[in-house]
Amino acid sequence: MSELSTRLEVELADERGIERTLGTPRAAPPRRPLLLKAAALVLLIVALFALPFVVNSYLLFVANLTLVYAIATLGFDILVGWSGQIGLAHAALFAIGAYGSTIAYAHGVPFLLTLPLVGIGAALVAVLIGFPAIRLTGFFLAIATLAFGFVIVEGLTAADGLTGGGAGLSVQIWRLPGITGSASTYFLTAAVAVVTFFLARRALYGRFGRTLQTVRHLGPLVGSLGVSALRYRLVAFGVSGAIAAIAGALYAQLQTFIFPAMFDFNLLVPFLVMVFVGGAGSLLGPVLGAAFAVVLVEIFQDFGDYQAIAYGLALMLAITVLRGGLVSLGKEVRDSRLIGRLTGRRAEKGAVQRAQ
Amino acid sequence: MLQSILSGLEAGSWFSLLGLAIVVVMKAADVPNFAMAEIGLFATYIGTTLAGVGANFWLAALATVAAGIVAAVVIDVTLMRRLAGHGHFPLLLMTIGLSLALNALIGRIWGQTARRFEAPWSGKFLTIGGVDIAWAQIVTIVLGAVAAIAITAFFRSSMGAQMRAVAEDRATARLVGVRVGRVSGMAWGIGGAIAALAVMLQAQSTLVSTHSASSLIVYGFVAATMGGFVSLIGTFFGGLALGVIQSLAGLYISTSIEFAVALLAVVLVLLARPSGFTTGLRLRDV
Repeated sequence: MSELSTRLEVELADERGIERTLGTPRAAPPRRPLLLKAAALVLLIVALFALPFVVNSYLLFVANLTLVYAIATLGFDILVGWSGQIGLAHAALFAIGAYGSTIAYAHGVPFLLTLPLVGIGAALVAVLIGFPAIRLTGFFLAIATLAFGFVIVEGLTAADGLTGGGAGLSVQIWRLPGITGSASTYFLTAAVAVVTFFLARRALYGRFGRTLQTVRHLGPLVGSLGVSALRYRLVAFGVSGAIAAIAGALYAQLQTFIFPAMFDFNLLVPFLVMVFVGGAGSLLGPVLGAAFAVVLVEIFQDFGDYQAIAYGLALMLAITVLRGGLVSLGKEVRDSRLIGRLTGRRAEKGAVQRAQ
Repeated sequence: MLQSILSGLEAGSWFSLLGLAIVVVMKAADVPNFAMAEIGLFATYIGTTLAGVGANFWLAALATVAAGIVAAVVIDVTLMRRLAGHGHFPLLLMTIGLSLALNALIGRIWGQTARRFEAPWSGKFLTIGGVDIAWAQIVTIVLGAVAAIAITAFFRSSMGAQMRAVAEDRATARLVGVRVGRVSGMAWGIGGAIAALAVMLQAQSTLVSTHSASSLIVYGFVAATMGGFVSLIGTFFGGLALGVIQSLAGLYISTSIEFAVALLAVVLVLLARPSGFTTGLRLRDV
């Protein structure tokens, strides 16, 4: 009886399945003393910018790739995790950034200017892609955006006069005077990452993020609160697209050679892995997810197919075992029965009475 | 023109069948299965391996379908059932992970070279009024239609009614005595068999590989979307239409754009009818 009833309860809760994956609304992290926070931030930034002087070029590349993926995943997470819309054109928007910036830079536009340009351009494209969100949700939105994504990547292949077609395009490397190209890219990436995460933190733990989550939970009902659900959904698409494109531009600098097949399903799946293995709907999640994905790629680099197998297994494990992603790992371990027994933790006083 | 409509219908039959496999699992087990094409590919490779060591074609074909059923049921029992009731999105991610791992595993075992499933009628043509029609095309189109009719009929039987009940509301179905686990295993088995059939039919007319499987699954999902993930008839005709559209786009525009055109057509369908293009036509089976 008891087993049946619990299983029935699980099934009755089916409707809320997506909520469980995406997590409950996030409260802003507790405020820590200002001095401590500032010290941690300064330490982090110093560590980030000191890295090129202490590590070899291979580790620098790995760190750089992790940062680029972290930025892109943050954008994806804003759409998928925070606003709860399954838009699957992210890899294509990333490609728009990579190609847009490379082509503009080759035609004489200053490189630093190409970043905001591709950001704005991709935001517009993303809003267009998100337009079906007016009528579609869930699956159907996923299929429609996936279709747009494929169209963009196919378009990059077809426009071979500009993009070099399927054969690819070599990237003109931007460099700061006096240092190598890879160090310049790294400094730029680190700066963009710090700025993006800072802005995202302000926005997501503030009014914008709270409204996005309300829209996710209530849908069109938020209209009764005077909030346009549609506008917030489209803005989420736009912001996510802009971040994807800026990360894409940095990715092109890092890879030095780009071709359309880099940006198809083979990139979209890692993005999904990064969001969900890291933990959707959090700020630290994208960083952890990106680090996980890059380390996985580097470890399994010489093993070919095993890399894809590892990716697939990681995604499956994250979904079955670690619902909140790596972000929640600490909490899960702390709350687990074994650790509780080892540390002699007692049930909260009064918890039993309340349950009865 | 006629030739490309025919080959569009042939490709459309593969898409329809895969779409039907997805819809059947979706209807009864409530899992959007992104790994369907890999299940079919796995089964087909088992068949080609058997044929390669000298087994009779019919035996190999039978083994393919059986392998599809077994693979799908094993996946249901070992992986998916623990996640039942977690909603569509986690399950979709789960099957995306599974398809990635399975695809790589198949590549590991059988290699990346494309394979073909030689049938007794492979390479033979029927000439009608000066037009050569490959027997492979005829077999595929006819089998696709037969399978679609058979599944539709099945869903009207008692077992089918139980499946519809489970799809409608798992908890209530269990309360009135439907054995949900068996029904879901059955649906996966049927889905696996149809997916194996789809990839096998593709393999007896063209080359299949781990790459073709990952593009086939997108078409299958698009076909299922056209049926709103519930309508078998909508999925069947959606898949056929998809095949013809992409074949004509390849003929009149360019072959590199055909995938994009087919997908754009779907976006238009979705925008006009957000839950499949047969909704409201009273064709729904659930």
